[in-house]
Amino acid sequence: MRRGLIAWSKEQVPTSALDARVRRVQQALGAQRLDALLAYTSVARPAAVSWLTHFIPYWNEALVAVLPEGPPSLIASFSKRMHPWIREVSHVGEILPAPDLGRAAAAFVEKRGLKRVGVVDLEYLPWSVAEPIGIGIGAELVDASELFASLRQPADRYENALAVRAAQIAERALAAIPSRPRHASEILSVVELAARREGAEEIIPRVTQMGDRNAVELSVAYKGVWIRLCRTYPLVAEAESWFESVLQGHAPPPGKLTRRTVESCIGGSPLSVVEDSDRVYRPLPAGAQAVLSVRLELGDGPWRAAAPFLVRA
Amino acid sequence: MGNAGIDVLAIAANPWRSDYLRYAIDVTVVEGTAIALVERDGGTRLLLESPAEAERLGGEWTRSPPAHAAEILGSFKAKRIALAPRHCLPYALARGPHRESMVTATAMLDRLMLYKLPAEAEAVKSAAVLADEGYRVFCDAARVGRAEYELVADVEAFFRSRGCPENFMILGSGGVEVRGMHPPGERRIARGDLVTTELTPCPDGYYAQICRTLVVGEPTEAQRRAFSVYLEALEAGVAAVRPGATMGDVARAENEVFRRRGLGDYVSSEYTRVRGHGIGLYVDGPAVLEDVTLVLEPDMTLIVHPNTYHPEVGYMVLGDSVRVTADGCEVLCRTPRELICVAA
Repeated sequence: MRRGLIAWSKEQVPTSALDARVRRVQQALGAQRLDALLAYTSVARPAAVSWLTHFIPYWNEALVAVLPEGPPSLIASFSKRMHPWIREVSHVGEILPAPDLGRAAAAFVEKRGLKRVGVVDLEYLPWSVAEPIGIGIGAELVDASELFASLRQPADRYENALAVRAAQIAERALAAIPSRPRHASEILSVVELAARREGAEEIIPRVTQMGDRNAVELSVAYKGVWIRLCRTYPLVAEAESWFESVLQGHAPPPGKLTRRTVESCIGGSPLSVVEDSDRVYRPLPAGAQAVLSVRLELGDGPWRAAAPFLVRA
Repeated sequence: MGNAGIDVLAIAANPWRSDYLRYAIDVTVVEGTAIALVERDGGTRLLLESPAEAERLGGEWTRSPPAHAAEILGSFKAKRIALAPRHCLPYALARGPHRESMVTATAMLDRLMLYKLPAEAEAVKSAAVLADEGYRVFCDAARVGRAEYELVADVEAFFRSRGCPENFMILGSGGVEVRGMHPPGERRIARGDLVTTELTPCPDGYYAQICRTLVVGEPTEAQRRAFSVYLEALEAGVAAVRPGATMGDVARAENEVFRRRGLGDYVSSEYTRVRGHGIGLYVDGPAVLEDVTLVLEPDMTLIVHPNTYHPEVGYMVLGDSVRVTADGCEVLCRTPRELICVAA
C-alpha cells in the first residue's frame, strides 16, 4: 500500500500539462474509432491514471474514463468522504462513487451509449471490472495499450523534473547506508527513513547478497514518477565508471555482461520491460524516460547497477 | 483442491491483493502481476511480470503472466482447472475457457482464509505487538512543525528495522475541519491538533491494526468529552465479539453508544466507512457494519474501530485488533485506550 507523500503541486505539474496529455488521448480516439478510453488504477498499476490526472490511489481501485471531449471522469471505489481529498491531489472532472467498480463502470458506459471502448493494458484489467462492461452490457473492449504507449513517451519537462527529484531522493537514501551494516534490515530501515523524509511517495528496496558484495536496488516514486537506482557495495570503481559511460553511450564492460534490461513507463505499470539482452520489445522515442539495469560477472564475483536515463536521439 | 475437484488452481496477485497468493504459496509480490499455477499433486509455477521480483522470489519472468498462464493452462489436457480470485484475475487469463470456475474457486479460498488456524491467529497477535510498538514511535514523531509524511517516515523506518516489509497507514491532523484520514500530505503538525492514525504492520504476511488519536498539547474539555464516546463505543464493540455473534452485532453495539449520546447521524456512511473489519492476510477483510451477517467463530481476527467524525472536535479514531476466543475475544493491542497527549 502507498503510505508516503501524496500531494499535487501545480507548480510541479500544472493543470495545463495534464490537460495537454488528455487532449492527446482525445485526439487519438477518433483515429482508432474509439468512443472512450478507460485506464484502470490501483497501487499495482497506477501509472496511466497518474499521468493523465495526477491521481494516485493509496489503496483500492478506480477507473479514469476519457471521452472525446471534456475532462476525464474518475469512477472510484473510495467512499464519498474521500472525494475532497481526491480533488486536492488530482485533476479530474466528475468523480463517481463506485462501491462495485465493474458495475459502476458498466453503468457509466451504458448511460453514455459507448459502444467501442479502448482499455489501457486490457490484458491486465481485473475480470471483476471487465466482465460487467464486456459481457454485462456487451460493450466492445479494445486493447488500447499501443495507442496509449505511443502517446506516453517522450516525457514532458514536468515529468522529467519529477524524475530528477526521485533520483535525488534515491541517491540520498543510498548515501545514508552505513559503511558496515550488520543486517539487511539496517540498510532497509535507513533507506526508508531517508527516502520518505525527502517526500518519496513510495519506495521498493531490494537487498541482494552476491558473495562478498551486496546489491541495493531502490525503486523510488515521487509524485507518480518512478525510477530505479542500484549500487553494489563495496563499490567497484572500474565497474561504476563503465556504467556511467554506458548511460551516455556504448562502452565495453569490465567483465561479462550477464543481464541488461531497459524499462520505461508505457502503460499502467510504473516500469515495464521494453528491451533486454535478447530483443527490443518496444522501441522508445528520443526523450523517453527509461531505467537501465545491468548485471556483470566480474573476475571476483557478480556486480549490479541500475539508473534512470533519457533516451538520446 | 481435492475436495473441490480441482487439479490445477491459477491464483492471481499484485501488490494490492497478494493475500490469496500468500495463503496458497507463502509469497507476497511487491511489484507487478504474479500468477501461480498450483497443481494438486505436483509443483507450483510462479510467473512474474517484474524481473526483479522473479529474481527475488525464484519465479519465472515473463512480459505477460496472464497470457503466459493461459497458454500453459491450455496445454494441461484433461485436468480440472480453476481460477481465483475474481477481483484480481486479469482479463487475458479470465476470459478463457475456465472463467466459470472463478466464483466457486474464489469462494473456496475466501472461506479458507476467513477461518484461521491457531497459528495464523498467533501471527496476527505478533503483528499487533509490532503495531503497539509502532504507535509509540508515531507518538514520538508527532511534534509541532513536522510534516505528516515525516511522521510516516519514522514509523516505516522502525518497522523496517524490525524486519517488517509492509504496512498500511493513513492519518489525519488538524481540528474540527478534519473529516477523515488519508495518506500523508505536506501539512505540518500544529499545537492543539488532533492527530489520528491507523497503523497496520504486516511483519510476516499477516496484518494487525491499531487506531489511536493524540492531541498535541493539553486536550480541551470538548476533546475529552468526545473521546469518552469513542472509548465507550470501542468497549461495547469488543464486548460484543464472541462466537455466534455477527459482524452486525458488533457494529450495532458500537453505534448504539453514539445514538444514546445523540450522535446517531455520525455512524452513517456520510461520516464513516465501517465500524471495523476482518484482518489477517488482507488489510481490509469483511466489514463490521450493522447489515453484515457473517457469524464470528474462534480464531477469527478483526479490528473493532468506532472511527468517525465528531461535530465538536473533528475526526477521531480508536480501535483494537481482537481475536475471537471460545467464549469472547482476546484484545491483541496493548496501547492504553487513552486520548494521548504529546508535548506541544
